[in-house]
Amino acid sequence: MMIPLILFGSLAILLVLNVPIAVALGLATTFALLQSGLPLLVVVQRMVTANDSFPLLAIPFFMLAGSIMTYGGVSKRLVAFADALVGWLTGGLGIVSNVSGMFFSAISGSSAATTAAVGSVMFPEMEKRGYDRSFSAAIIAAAGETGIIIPPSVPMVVYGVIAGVSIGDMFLGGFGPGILMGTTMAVLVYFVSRRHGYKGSSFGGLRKLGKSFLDALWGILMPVIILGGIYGGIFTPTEAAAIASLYGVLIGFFVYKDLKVSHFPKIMQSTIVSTAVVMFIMNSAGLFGWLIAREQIPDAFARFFVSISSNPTVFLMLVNVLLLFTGMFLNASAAITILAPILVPVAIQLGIDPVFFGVIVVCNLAIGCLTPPVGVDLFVASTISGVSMARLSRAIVPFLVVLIADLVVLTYVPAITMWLPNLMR
Amino acid sequence: MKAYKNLLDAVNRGTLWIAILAAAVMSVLVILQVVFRYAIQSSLSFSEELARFLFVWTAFLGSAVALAKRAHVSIEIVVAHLPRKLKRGAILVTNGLGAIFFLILIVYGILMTIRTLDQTSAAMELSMGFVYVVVPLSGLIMLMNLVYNGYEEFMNPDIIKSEGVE
Repeated sequence: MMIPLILFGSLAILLVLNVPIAVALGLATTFALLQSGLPLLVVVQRMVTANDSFPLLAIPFFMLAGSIMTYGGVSKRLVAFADALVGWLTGGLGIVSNVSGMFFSAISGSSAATTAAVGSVMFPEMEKRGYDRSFSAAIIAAAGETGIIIPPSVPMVVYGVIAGVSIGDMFLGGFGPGILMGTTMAVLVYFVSRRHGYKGSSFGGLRKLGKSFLDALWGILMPVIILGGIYGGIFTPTEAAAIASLYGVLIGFFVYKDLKVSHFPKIMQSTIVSTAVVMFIMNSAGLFGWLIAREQIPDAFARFFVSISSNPTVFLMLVNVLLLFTGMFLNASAAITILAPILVPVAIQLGIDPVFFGVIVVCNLAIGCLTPPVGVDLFVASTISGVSMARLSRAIVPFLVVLIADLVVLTYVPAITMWLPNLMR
Repeated sequence: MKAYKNLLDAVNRGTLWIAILAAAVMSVLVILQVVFRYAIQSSLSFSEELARFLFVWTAFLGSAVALAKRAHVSIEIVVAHLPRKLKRGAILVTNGLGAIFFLILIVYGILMTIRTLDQTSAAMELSMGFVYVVVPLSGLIMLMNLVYNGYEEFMNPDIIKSEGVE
């Protein structure tokens, strides 16, 4: 009983003290190891073992692919296509931001990158057209929401490795929820815009639409290549991610011709830093998770939970509440590395499909990217727009209401998530 | 402190470039692995293992670079709102704890490296010490950066604020 207390108690104190999450996980485990008398060599050994994983190698490659695509001119063509497609609707620019976010999600595995890519293009446009600044900032923050739901997705890779489920199945499971969330947010933007009288541009004609579609097609094809390759048995998810980076380089150099050799130091630096931020947490969490498993904490938690209720519906509802709360403070990958080892065994014991459960977990934590006080999409949108966190936190509320309603629907209608993975199994 | 900062900048630049090199080789290896399997119909025996080891190097050295850029995720909200005096105290405690962890990585990293020098990897028969040595190395660079970051935070506690525009 002493060891779980030290483990979780010191973790909570360290996190509140602003110790980086990775260091806090490592230190909390160290304290528990000292109590249990195990050698501290384990700290180094477990961190390296966690990192020494071929499936996790997909993370830097998806980061790299997203970064190459951004420099390679893919994002502006995705925005141009979205503009030709929905820009003529009432609230056109807002809906374009939403739809571009969904498109960009298909080449990026992170939500902050999606908000940054869409926001830097769309916020100035909405400002020019007289949109309310807080509303526009909320729109671009929300555009990042689907970044980790529509494949590829870094948190899905993390979940797949920790829970031992197919990363390909996780990716396929993300399409339905991603499209649902993106579309319902666009509907919200439409109704708010109608009330404020934000007009769209005029429809540019089918010709223009067709041309912008062909222009953007190279980017939109990326998930098809990734998933086609994985399910065609051509390559593993990690290899798919590496090939996606190569694909980004090829279209950046030869099709769009926006990519330059001089971009590469910046591309590599941003890839390495964002990879390291995730991997440092993963490595410490590998250590933390190892001690949790050794102490049989997941079993104890599962027994405890099942003794209260063995109803999957109740469990999923409690998980949603727990994760929405956790997502207010932790980013998605960190929350998954800490909580998945404890929650997944219970889900399996209650007969919940671990792929379905994983997609729900990721959708939940994606909402966490939009909730104050710690929401990475809000930070990015606030920095781009200059709208304060306090005002943005109010403006985002209608979006949160819609997303939480979506989450309830997704939780109790598993078919939205599972029809694609089931089709492929 | 100025001379220390110059030294630190040079170390960080060197670290970044080694990480970039490792990441670049790792990317080429995995792409080659696919190419070899399909185009040449023979698989590379060492590519996966070497790519994994380079990934370990990239991630650990990258963690040091990320620390220099204050990119690591932490929950700043509580400390950011403390009164100045308490905030200074919290900064000392936080960085002291961080230093302890990095010292553990250095000391036990060196021990682990020595212990694994004569263990060899499965495919390449490379000494595992070459993999583990990145732990004390990056631990040292992180400790060096923590000293500077901690000094900066202590002199100017306003650095610690919730992100975004206030």
